[in-house]
Amino acid sequence: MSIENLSPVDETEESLGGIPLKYWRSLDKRELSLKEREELNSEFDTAADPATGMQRRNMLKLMGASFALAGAGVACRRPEAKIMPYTKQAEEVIPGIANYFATSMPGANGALGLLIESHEGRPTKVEGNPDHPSSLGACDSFAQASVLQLYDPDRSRNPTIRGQLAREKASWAAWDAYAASHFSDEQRKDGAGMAFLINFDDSPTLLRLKGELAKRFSKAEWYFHDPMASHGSEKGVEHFFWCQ
Amino acid sequence: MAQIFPKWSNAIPKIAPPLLLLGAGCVVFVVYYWFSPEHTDVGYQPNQPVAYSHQLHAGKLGIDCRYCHFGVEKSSVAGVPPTQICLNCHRSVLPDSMKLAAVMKSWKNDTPIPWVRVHKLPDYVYFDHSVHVNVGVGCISCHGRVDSMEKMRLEKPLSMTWCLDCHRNPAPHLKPLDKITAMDWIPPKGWDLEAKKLAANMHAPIISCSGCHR
Repeated sequence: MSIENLSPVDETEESLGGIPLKYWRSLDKRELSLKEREELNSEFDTAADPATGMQRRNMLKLMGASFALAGAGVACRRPEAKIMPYTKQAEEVIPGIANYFATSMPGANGALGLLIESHEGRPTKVEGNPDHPSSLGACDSFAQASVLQLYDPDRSRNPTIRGQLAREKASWAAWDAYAASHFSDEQRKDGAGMAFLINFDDSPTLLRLKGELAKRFSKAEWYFHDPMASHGSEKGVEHFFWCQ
Repeated sequence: MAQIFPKWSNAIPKIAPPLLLLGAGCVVFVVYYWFSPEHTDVGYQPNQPVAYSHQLHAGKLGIDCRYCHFGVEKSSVAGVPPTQICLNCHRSVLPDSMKLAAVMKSWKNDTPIPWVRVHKLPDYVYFDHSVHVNVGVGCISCHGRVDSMEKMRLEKPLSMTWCLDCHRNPAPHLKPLDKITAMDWIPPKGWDLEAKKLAANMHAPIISCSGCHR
């Protein structure tokens, strides 16, 4: 019996000078006890899925039958399509015509003036705002890509709570209840031991909120994190040109 | 040894080809004629969530099409009116009618009325209402006598050949721009010459593939 003929978990009683040879594929496999080894070997002996007890062939038969039935059911009739108009239509929205609105995207180096194309309330394209002095109609790749964030399936839609195994969905009412008790406790300590982690941002709204929070939690600490900020390169330029 | 085939089987090679040809021709004709949108689609008249009658509103009361389908002159889609438009009148006209229960419910709950689509073009076709309406193709050319429909009905096949027939020769479908929505308009004497002149002067309708399949 050569090595090529061995299945990954098989062992051989072949011996070399009286010492039995044992082959294994990884160190983990070698560590397994004999009983576990038997279980591993028996995994492929039966075609039944231990979880459902369903044979592979039965599974295929059922799948084939359901596909055939699905095809027979819908082939004869035109699918019914629905038109869902607004109930109260926004004045400036005409279905089929894009609306453009000006906005700005805050970043580490100041805000970027943008013009957004929006179809019935769904933004589809980001471009620079030609009337904005900082962009003059141009915009960077981050602004271009930012529209995708809106449709990102991983975008968080609700608060989460730490559960037994993973994060679990929580309601906003639950968050309100939690926040009311949690932050009044924190306020009693003036926010000692509390920290905020935020982006570098010149947004006036954010600065105002920061000011309000700093009043309530005077001992809280503030940390900034922005992987896209270019402060490192600014420092580098300063260093390179011996500015300091 | 007995004959395997009887004597009449000698005729099979002579009769079979014309029969096969005839059969194939029948199949082609059946598919061409009865599988076309003119037979499969025209006459589609689904039940709507609200028993809205175009015959009453557009025909008898004479409300202009554009009062409800207000996007038609500006947008690619004519638009199905928001519930708000119904309420413009029905706030005071028959507000308690049972026929309007679904409309009132929609208004109260802020949920859209799920109208069933009657005129549907495939997704791979580009169509713009405003372009057609603004050069003089009236509503009636594609939607038929809507003002006499109790329940909305698909009147024209909306097939590619049907589109192209008009794109190749638009003159018979042109109307004066102020009569675009008039369903009962009868061309005055000499209009056909006028229309031909209009057709010759306007931007020629696109008949290349990418005009609609863009």
